Amino acid sequence: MNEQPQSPANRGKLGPPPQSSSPRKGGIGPPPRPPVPPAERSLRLIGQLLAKTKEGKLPWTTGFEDGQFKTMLPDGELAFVIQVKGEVRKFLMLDGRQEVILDETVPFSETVADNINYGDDKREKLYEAIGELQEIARSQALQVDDKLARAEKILAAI
Amino acid sequence: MAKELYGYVEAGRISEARIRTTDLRSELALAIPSHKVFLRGDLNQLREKQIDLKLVADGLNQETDFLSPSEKIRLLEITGEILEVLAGQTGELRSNVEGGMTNE
Repeated sequence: MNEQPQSPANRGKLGPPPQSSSPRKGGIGPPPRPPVPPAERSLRLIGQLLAKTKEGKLPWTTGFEDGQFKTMLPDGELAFVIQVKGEVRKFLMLDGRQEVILDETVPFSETVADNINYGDDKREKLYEAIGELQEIARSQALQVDDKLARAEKILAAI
Repeated sequence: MAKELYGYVEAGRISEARIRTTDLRSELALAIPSHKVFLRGDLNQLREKQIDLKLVADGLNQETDFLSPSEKIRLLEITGEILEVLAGQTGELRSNVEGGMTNE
């Protein structure tokens, strides 16, 4: 089977495609906005999650798999999952029924291939952003700073 | 069902645990909306457990029967916490009913 390589801009799974809007009834409205490519939207979301996490407004907890962390938005309906597993990084968004709304699975090899084949560095940026968020989420979920400070205190007292 | 799942995980019977995880997910998905009014503060906790179970189901589906020691511990914690929340709910409901009965 000859599978055409997917262009980098279209990679990353979004939930069901938006329904085509009904034909406009008369009048001149603004032209429909072009859809934001999934990688760009994911980068934006990760940026927001990073900012809110740094402000201490978003609590992260451990997920099930190693290297996996999750957070729920205050409305209790939407959740994000971030995971670093070897050279594969994952960013998921789930809704209240645990349906996958956004799934970005980025293997390192893909970022290299995109750079070479298309001169596109979006996947590389996404790969790095997922890594950065996962590191902060991990640090918060496992209370790394508190535990390191406690260890220093105990060691100093010995 | 949460108790059953806990037992399977404890015994290392992962394929049974996988099936029970799916069953428990369905059961919670049906139960939560219909008992929303009683759940109050526990609602978000149970929603978080639903996310956990989704991640467990995905994790168990992709990696046959292998779980790292920390994943096994986390799975026990998740199922244990679901049991605790549900037990708390049952206890609260019972005392509400008993309280109502004695008030009459």
